[in-house]
Amino acid sequence: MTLFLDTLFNGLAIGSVLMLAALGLAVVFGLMGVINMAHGELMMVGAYTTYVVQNLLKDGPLEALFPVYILLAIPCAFLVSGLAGLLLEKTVIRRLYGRPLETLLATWGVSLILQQFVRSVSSAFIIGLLLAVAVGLLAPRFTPAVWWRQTWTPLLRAGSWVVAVAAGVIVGSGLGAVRALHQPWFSARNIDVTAPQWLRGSIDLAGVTMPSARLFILALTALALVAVNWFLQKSAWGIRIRAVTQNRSMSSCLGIPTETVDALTFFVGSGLAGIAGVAVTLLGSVGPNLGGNYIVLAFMVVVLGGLGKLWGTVVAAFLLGIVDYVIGSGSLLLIWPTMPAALNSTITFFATTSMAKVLVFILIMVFLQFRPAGLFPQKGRMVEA
Amino acid sequence: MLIVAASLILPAVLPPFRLNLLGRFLSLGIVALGVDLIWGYTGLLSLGQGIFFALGGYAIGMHLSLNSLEPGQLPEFFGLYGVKELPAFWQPFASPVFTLIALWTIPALVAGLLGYLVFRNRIKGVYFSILTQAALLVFFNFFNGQQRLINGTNGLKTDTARLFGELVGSDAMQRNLFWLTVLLVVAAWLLCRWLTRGRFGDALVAIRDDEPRMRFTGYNPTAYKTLVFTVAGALAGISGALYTVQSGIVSPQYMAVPFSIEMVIWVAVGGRGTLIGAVLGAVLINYAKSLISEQLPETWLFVQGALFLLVVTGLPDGLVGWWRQGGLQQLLAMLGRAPRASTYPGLDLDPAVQAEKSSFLSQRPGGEP
Amino acid sequence: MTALLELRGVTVSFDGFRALNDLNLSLQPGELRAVIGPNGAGKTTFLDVITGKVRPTAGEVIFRGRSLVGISEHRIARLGIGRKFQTPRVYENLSVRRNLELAVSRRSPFALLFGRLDGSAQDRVQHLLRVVGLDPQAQQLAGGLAHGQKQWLEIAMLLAQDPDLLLVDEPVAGLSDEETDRTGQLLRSLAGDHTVIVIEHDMDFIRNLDSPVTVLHEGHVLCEGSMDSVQKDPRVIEVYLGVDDDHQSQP
Repeated sequence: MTLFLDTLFNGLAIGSVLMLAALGLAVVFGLMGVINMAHGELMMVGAYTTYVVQNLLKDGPLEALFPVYILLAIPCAFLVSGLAGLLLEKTVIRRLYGRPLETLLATWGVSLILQQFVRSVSSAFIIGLLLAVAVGLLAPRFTPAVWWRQTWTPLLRAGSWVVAVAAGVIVGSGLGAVRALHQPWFSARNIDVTAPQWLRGSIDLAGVTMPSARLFILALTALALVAVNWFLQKSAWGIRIRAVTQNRSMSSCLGIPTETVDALTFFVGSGLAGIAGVAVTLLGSVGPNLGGNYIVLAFMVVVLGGLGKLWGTVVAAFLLGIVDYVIGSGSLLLIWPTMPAALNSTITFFATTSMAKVLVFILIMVFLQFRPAGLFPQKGRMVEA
Repeated sequence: MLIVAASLILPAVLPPFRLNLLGRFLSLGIVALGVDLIWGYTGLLSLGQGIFFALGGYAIGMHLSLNSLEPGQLPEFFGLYGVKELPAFWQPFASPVFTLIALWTIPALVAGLLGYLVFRNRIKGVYFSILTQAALLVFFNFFNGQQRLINGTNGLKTDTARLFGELVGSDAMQRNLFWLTVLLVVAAWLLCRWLTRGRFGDALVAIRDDEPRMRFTGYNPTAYKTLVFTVAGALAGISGALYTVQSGIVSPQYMAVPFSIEMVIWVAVGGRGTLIGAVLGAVLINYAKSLISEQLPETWLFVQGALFLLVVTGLPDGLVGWWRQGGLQQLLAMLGRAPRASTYPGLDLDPAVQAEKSSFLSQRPGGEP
Repeated sequence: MTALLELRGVTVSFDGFRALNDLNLSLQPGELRAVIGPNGAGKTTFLDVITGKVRPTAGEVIFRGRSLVGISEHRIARLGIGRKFQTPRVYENLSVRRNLELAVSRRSPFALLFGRLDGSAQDRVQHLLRVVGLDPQAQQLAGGLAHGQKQWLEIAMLLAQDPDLLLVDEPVAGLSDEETDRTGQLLRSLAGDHTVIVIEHDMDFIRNLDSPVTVLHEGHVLCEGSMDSVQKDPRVIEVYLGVDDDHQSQP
């Protein structure tokens, strides 16, 4: 019984992180069909936001709030990641709707940029970046308007951006000589978020030790799930989002601003990635490569659950969590010590964290052989031509 | 053909280190040809070519680890993990003939099986991409975690091994390997050309553009996709083996997620759907990478990320596609160097114009019967 | 004479909605049959069931005495059933000639790789190019053709397949009057050697085909007969042509 509860709890704990990571994807990929490879990096942005919030509250006038900084970090991370996602949607993804493979590649590029960004961001870097953007955007304003109606205008436009970037790089590296500005904000090293006092202990229940941090993540997951479900099912904008998902042109005819809906959906999905990032900080130190660890598994969760079904994502995440824990901890051996030797050695073979992943992936592939549309496929006439 | 000419001159000109780099990049051109075959022509974006690449590399790596041993000896790393006996799957790799066959058949078989299972279920588009990436992670975790079988994270070193009594890492050997690479790139290019030129290539393009239509015409897309995926797997295996002997090591890093996506961007920059573009892209991007990484290592990821964005939004047909569509003339036209409209150089080559011309000719009395 | 194609009690339901409901239909070899019906009557689903794209929830589809249920699309196509889609679907990045060459080829990858297109197949391609008047555009990419030309190319591809049963979905949508007439002539000339099912909205076109008409409504056959008799049927008038008298009085 204890073993069962232990397995259940740990499985749910692993599953809940997966769930949070996949929830945003379920919205963006499941509802919009946009494949965002930078989703993991948006999680990372959320994690770094948590770190910043923690450091801001550590000392100074707001010190009194420090014990609950993690609660403050949640909306902050949601907002920061959401805005980053919004920027991504407005600049890149918008141009690529209906071209999923291109979206995949472009967002992968964005994820690389974000990774390197947190590694090398410093005050000098930011000043250079702002300068480049400002020069690039303002160039048409301060040059004769005639220039922008010529046959060679595209070249001029590209050229002005090249100049802008060059100016940014020169100023940035020039300022880099100044010690105070050169200091990277985060550097390439991992950062540590210390959980507040009240999340460091653990609770014993029926013989199972439950770390408070894990319980907190579980609660956070449940809360996020309820909130997303309410938002999609009950709120006016949620209903619009679902309407656009089902029939874009019809929704547009009915006066639903489809572009705003796209942007909003993406904002919400990205914000959820930020919340997942907060949760991840509680599990250990985080670094610029955080995203890569979660993205593939999160996608598998969404695919396994079936697209467009939040419920499927939930079940798939917890199922994967439990299976992962059962295999990885080798607890099958405890339940059934007398199993045949061949089976025993097979299970021992896979009873490490990385090998458990191998088996989980293989199981998913096998499962998709029988149910290519996932656990809860969408029915109806949505069969593509 | 330019590549052949260049490869004849370069070994004499370049210092060994640069020559070795070029050889490596050219061998990456082979895997890029495979990516182009499945993505550029057939529309299957695989993010898991690293699997087949690494399998080829491991095949040659295992052979070289065994090759330079005294009878009865084991590769050194086995001793570290207390393995006394050579694992069974290592045994056949002692034979050079088996290895030469295995280094492309094993990846091909794995690719064929994986492809068949996926294509049979009509999994395509981004789902295919995600699944291949997941498969890549399976292999990565497996090879990374199995210290006792294949030396896990550390990989297998090949540059200190001997081939025909010569050190693999030596300059003379590397020069021979460079020739071999050039030869195989050309061979792979010819193979892909043969595959894509005729009706088979047409069928691939047709599957890419409208798969259901192909089905209703009586074609079975699964067979075609499995076949090209298998070929691409074999090419990746050969490429991985060549890359391994020239870089001196094979490790699970060959199956890292970013590397497999990079392969796609080589093809995208060079020009997908053009074979020469794939090779060109692989060499150019990797050259740029090594150059930038030497000078400003921090900026490489920015540059690479920007490349992804740029090529997708601004240059969908890649450099070769841009060139062939008269990109240069357009550029000159923008600068006012060439007159635009009527004497536009490409006009006479435009198939629409030609068709109109010929229909005009055939309608004239006394024209074509 | 036994029927070439027979649908027995075919039902297709999507999540409770019955796109086809106990549909029975039988087709003799060489017959030309027009299928009409208001929007949502199940016309396209009817073709989907025959060609294997949609599996019937209940019922049987028999082609030459053999059940088609559960057979994959490409095998059904190889049995001799060709389909033209509602919107013209040609391979836009291949030239017109290559589109046709793919349609006449044997379908296995190895045949395409190692085999050559034999003389008679090449002649057929050339012949079909002339029949549909696309000879001058043979080298042009199909994506650059005008809408009507694409329709014709698709019909030519269908003929190149040389199927026994042709399923033609809205062949004259978006065509000019002249092109419509030519299409009608072509389809009539095909009947006899081939069996043809035409789905169309254009009533004048159907009338000119001068063939038996099947009216579908809500997934089942409402009535069958000549165009004239069908048009007089009160049920048809009610569901399809409307009770509008003006419509009726037209010859």
